Formats: sequence, C-alpha cells, structure tokens
Amino acid sequence: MKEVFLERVLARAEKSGLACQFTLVQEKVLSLRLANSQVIQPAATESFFAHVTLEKEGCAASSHLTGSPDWAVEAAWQKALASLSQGPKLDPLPLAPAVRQIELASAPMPEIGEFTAFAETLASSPGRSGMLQVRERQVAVVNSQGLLRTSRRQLAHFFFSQNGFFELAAPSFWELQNLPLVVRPAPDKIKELSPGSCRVLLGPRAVADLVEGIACTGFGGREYLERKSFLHKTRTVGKENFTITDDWQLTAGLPFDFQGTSRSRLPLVERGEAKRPVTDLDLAARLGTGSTGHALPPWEGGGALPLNLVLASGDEEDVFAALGEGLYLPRFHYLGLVDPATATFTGTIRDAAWVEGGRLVGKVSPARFTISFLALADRIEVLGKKRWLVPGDWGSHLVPELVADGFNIE
Amino acid sequence: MKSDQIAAAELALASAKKKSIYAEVRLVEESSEKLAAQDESLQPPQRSAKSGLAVRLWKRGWGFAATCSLEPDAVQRAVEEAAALTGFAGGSLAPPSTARAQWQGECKLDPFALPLSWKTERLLEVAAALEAKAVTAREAAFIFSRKKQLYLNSQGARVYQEHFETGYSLKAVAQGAGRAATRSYPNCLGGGFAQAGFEFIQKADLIRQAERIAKEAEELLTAPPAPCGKLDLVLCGSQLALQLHETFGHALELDRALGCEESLAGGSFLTPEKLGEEVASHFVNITADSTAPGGPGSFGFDDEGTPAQKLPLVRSGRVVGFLTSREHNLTGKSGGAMRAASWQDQPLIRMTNVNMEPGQETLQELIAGIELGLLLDVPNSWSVDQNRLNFHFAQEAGYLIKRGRIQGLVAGPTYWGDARRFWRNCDGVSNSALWQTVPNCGKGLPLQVVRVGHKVPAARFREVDVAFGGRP
Repeated sequence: MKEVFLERVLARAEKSGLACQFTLVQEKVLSLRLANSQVIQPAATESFFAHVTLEKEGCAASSHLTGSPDWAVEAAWQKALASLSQGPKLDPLPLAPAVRQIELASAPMPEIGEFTAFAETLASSPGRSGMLQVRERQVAVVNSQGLLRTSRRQLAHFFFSQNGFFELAAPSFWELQNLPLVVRPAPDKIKELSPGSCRVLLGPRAVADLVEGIACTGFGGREYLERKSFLHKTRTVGKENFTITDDWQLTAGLPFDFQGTSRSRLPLVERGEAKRPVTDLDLAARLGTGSTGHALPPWEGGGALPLNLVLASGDEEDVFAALGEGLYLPRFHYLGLVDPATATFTGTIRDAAWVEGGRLVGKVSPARFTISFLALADRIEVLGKKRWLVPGDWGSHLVPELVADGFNIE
Repeated sequence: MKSDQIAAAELALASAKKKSIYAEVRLVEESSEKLAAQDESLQPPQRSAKSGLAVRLWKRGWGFAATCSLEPDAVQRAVEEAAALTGFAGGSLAPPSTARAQWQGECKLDPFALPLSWKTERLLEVAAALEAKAVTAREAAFIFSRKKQLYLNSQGARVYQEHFETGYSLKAVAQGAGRAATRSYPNCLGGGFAQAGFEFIQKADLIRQAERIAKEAEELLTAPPAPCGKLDLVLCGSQLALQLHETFGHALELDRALGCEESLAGGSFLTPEKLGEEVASHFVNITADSTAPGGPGSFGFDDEGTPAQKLPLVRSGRVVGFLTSREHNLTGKSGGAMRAASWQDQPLIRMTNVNMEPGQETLQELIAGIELGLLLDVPNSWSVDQNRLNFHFAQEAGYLIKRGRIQGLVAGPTYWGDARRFWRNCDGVSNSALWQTVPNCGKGLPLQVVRVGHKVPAARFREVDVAFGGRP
C-alpha cells in the first residue's frame, strides 16, 4: 500500500461524516513444504484485505473484502453502508485519536529462484520434512478521527523435523539465510519412557507455547472480564526467575494494534508476580483503564491478547549440560486447554529425545501429558542465555530454552 | 460471475498451458454475512466478500500461485510465478478431469435475499431464550455464505459450482459461587452448518435448544464433579463427530498416511499397508460421502474437477479405503477429496463428509446397557497425537448414567485413550444419525480452515478412562 493510496482512504474516512475505521492488510507469501527431502506444495500468493466498520447515530455495520486495493476499499465501504441503516443500536464506535505514522521500509521479497535454491539446501539431507515461508505483511489502520498508521514487516521462517525438530526465524529472508543452523539429531535408538515425573528441557517452540498458554489464559482482557482468567484466583506466576513482557520491538511486531493504539513494552509477569490484563479501547472502558494497545483484528471477533511475548533469559550457556539427565522436548503437539482456572493443558510430546550426561542418547515416542502451565512455570530451574524468535499467527515471541522439574508423562 | 472475471480465468489458462504439461485455474467468489447477538444487544452485522484467482501447473511437480487482482498483469504474474515454482517433485497423476458441468447446492430460502431486520429479529428471539437466572453471558449467531467457483483445466474441463451455507451457534455462560460454566449448541467449535438456506435455521428448533443449554449452564454450577475410573460412554452429537474426525477422518487422509504432513499435522496410524486390517469393532462403518445433499462437505466436483463420490472407508471395523487425490491414491483414480479453503489456497486432501453409518439399537437401548457411565455430547477441549492414536477430550458437561438411566449433569468430565483400543470397544451404534459440523478443520501450511461434515449416530464405548478435569 502506497502512501498516496492510504491518503485517499484517510480522506474518505474523514470526509464521510461517519465514525469509521478501516483496517487494511496486504500480504505477499512465498511458501513450500518439505516431505521426505522433496519440495512439495510450492506457492506464491498476493492478497489485499480491507475491513471497514461504520457507525452513525448508534447504528453500526462492518464488512471485509479481498480484491485489488482501490476496489476492495470502495466495495467494503459500500457494503457496510448498505447495511448501516438496518444495523443494531450500539455504543459509539471506539476510535483511537489522530496519529500519523507511515513505515514502509521493509526487506525486499526474495526472487523465486533464491527462495527455491535455499529450500533445496534445506531438503538436501535425507529424511527431512518441514516448511519454508517468507511473508511480507503490511497492516494499516485508518479512522475518521484522522488516524493513519501503517507498518510493513517481513518474516522469514523455516522448520524441519529429522530425528528432532529444528526451527529458525528472522525479520528478513537475508538474515534467515545467514543464521547459524545447529542440527542436533537424536540417535535412532528408542528410549522407552515410563509414566511419571521427569526433568525436562523445553526447546524454543515449546517455551513459546508455554508462555503463550499462560498469557492467553490469564492476561486476555475479555477472558478477565468473563472471569475465565486465572488472575482472579492467583497473582503468582512462576518464581523470581519468571518475567514475561509484551514487546513488539524485540519480536518484529507491529508498533500499533488493530485499533491503531500505540503499543509500548508492557510487563505481564515480573519476577513471578502477575501484572494487569491487556485491553483494547472497548475492554479498557469497561475495566475503567486505558487501552494497552492489544486489540485483535476486528474480523476475528474482537477482544485483546498479547501477541509479542518476551520471556526473560537466564545466564545458562549450555542448557543440555544443565539438564544433565531428562527429557528434551522441542515442541508440544496439539495442545488443548483443559482448565483455564489453573492453565491446565493437555497435549503430546513430539520429536522428543532423552538426554544423559548432557547428550542426546535416544528418541522418545509420543506420549501424553496433562499439566498446569502455572505449575510448570513455578518449577523452572534454569533459563538459557540465548533467545530465539518463534513466529505465531499475528506476532512472534522471543524466548530462551528452559529446564524445569516435575514434567509429568501419563 | 461477471464476464471480465471469466475472461481473466481464461487468459490465465491460455497462458499457463504454454508453460506446463498440465494447468488448472480456479476463479472463486465468496460472500458471507454474520449476525451476532451478545446478551441483549446485536453486534454490527459483518459482511464479507472474497474473490481471487488461483493457478496450478504441473511440470515435474506442482507450482501454485494466487492473486486477488484480476488485472491482466497480475494474472500473468501469477502464471509466471506458478511456472517458476514447478520442477521439484516427480511422480505420476491419475487422469485429469474432462468434466463440463454445472452444479448447484440446495437452497430454499436465500438468506441474502431476506431483510436484515427480519433475520436479526429471529436472532434476538433465540438470544432471549438463553435467559436464566445465573446466566451472565449469552451469545447467538447466524452465519450465511455463498460460494461461486469456476474450474478450468488444460484438458478442457469447465465446471461451474455454486452453493449456499447456513449456520448457527449458541452459547450460555453461567456464573455463581466463584465458578463459571458454559454450554454450547450444537458445538463449541463455531457452529453447525448445512449447505442450505435460512430453512436450516427454521428447522433447528433453536428456541428449545437455547432454553435447554441456559438451564444446563446454570445447573452445572452446582453439579457434582464427573466420576473417575474406567467407565462406559455413550458419545453423540458434536463429541462423536469430533472423535470420528480426529481419530479416523484425519488418519485416513492418504497424503498424511504417506508422510506429506509429517512435519506439521503429523502422520497416521493407518498407513496403506493397513488396508483390510481390523481397526475397530464390527459395529463401526465409516463412509466418505461428498454427494450427500446439504452436507457441509458436499460438492459436485472437488477442486481438481473430480466428481463427488460416496466411498467406504471402514466396513465392519476393517479399513477399506482412504481419502485420495490425483497425486495420492492407491488405485490410479482420485477419490475426489481435494479441497482448497479459499481462492488463495492450493487444494489438499481434506475430509468431505466423513460419516458413521447407523446401527441397530435406539439411543435408549444404548443407555440401558450401561451400569455406570456418561453420555457426552459437546467437547470443550481436544488433543490427539501426531499419528492420531493417543487422544484426550474434555467436555462442557456429562450426563451421568446409572443402572441404565440418565441421572443428571456432572461437571468437567475428560476422557482419553488409544484410538485402536477405543474403537474396538465400540459395542453398539444407534439407528439414526444426525448431521454435525467441524467448522474449523485445519490443515496445511499456510493453514487452511474448512468446514467438514459428519453425519453421526450415537455410539457406546466400553471401559474408557475418565476423570474430572476441573472447572473455572
């Protein structure tokens, strides 16, 4: 989206005489999968998405469209306008105040040849399955108060499994290609795991899921208002070594939320003590606070969640040595929330290995666990020094590996 | 579809033919409307329209590109990109479609032609029926969509399809004594859908269902915790649909069984050499049926132009078939299970309508055969391992069965097990089946979410591990 196009959208919003917000998303994605060391499903897609919410005299309507930018904006506007008179009576549309921020600098998308050449190097080792994706996403929020904010980000990401799970992400394809890839495959030998408790070393993807599980069950503004958040029962989350912040700057995130509210570094848990839930303009009004800048995309049903989580690192350089003997778990598989009051999740272990003397000695078959993530956070013994960027749906997280005790295998 | 859109698709195909051995183009136009009520108030109506064009070429492997712009340069760029992405995999394909056909789903009352105010009045009537003393949050939604698709390929196929989908979802949240309890209908996954018009909502008896779930949400606040131990279960509704979906439906996707999803969604315990093997009791019969009128996963032709089919997957507990495509099949023929979630997605092997065939007993007879157990209908959490064996489901609520009769609600039941043992312990299936929907079935990367249908009866399973999973 060019500046001149966004100016036209702003002019339409300001001159309409209606309270309104446009949320615009333009994406270019190059993606492919690896299966049995072959490249499959290579794809290149370009999309533009316009969402508009209008409000006039207490009636509101919204619509969203894909198509070429000028057409989609106009058609979304007309579609919403057509249903405005029949729309329900509502509280005034919450709109962020006028701000102007245009950030269009972004790394260039790779040529298809560069992209597929890198994929072939990833696929060159026998037995690899995985994916490679480069996504450039520009988000713009424009409203009738005179707000115009846009930011463009690239995220390049790959993972593969091959007697283990290996994942890297970077804010550009160029950086991704230059990241050191340390592949630490487990020996083929299968280690039979008995049910019971063990020490565990969680890899970056598993730690990101742990932190996201805690953040989303405890710190979502809507969940808090509906009393589903564990914050109504406890303010203790982990021990002194457990600090989570929401920080877009460290995670290649957006500097504003989907209502255009500025985002700043927000502590969620400081040294084991929970802070406040996150909000958008609507939830903030209902809680009698200010918006923390965590509005979700309006087409996803509203609400507020922290999307750019950063877990404070420790000082351990060799987390495998720190584990000594125990389970190395690079990722959880298919987490299901069993009890939000205790942030209890069930899932299975995946691509796991057994560690003895700080070295991988064998693969571990999938097994189920059902565990309170709060309890697990409370049993963290060691945090790694190095941190990894782990992509999520609308943001990324930055986390170290960690060692915890009391991981219960069923 | 407008003539300039069709011209763009034809241009794409003509250009793609020059760059490949085989080419296909999909032009898709979808519109949707969601009406939602929270408590007393309506939410702003949400209307959407999504359209775009996808090109898929075969030349020693597939290459795929999609664009939302139908301008000639954008279309040409998509063709060039798809061509540049070919050449990475070999293999052979089952014969391509040469169909020239039109297909239209059933719709008696076009939901888009009905006045918005009339539809919202119906919605508010349903939302009002979610009222109960302890109910603090009520949600009701009607969802409508219409999809038009033109499929063209280089072998001369030209298939136009059009259908409506209509859905609804209800939720009541009760609070009291420091607890919260939720009941949903017909599922907690995002709604129940049919390829139909507004008549689907009119037939659904939503007022009665709304009153029931509001009352049950309230009762759950003081309901005893679910019993623990090895219990007998009757599964029905969205719970049996999801059990079937997770442990048989995904497991029978042939691309998955062959390792194409190994890194993300996972593999399958049902690999092709398991054909003919007994993996469930003889009561279990499963069929993939994309021909069923009204089914959420029905169509005339899949997204490779292959005609809809009704194919047995499991017969008397033995695996007899897989969900297949032109690229991944065991017979040299596609089973017609390729679906793309939207214009910008490439087709993958997906469930269509994966149904469990009815048996001989009534629901009452299934319940009467249980000394101590639970009837479970709506899950609120689900998890299954990457080979679709080791599963865990938590429930919104359970109906306690004692000495062959339902005694009342219990809170927080969870159950888990191994899919093979679980399905082998099925010892009764009821004689009537109802449509259920899994509206958010995810697969692929970038992730594609589609609606899948499951017509399921009720079924009884012996000696299942059950526990109390807690409650908010």
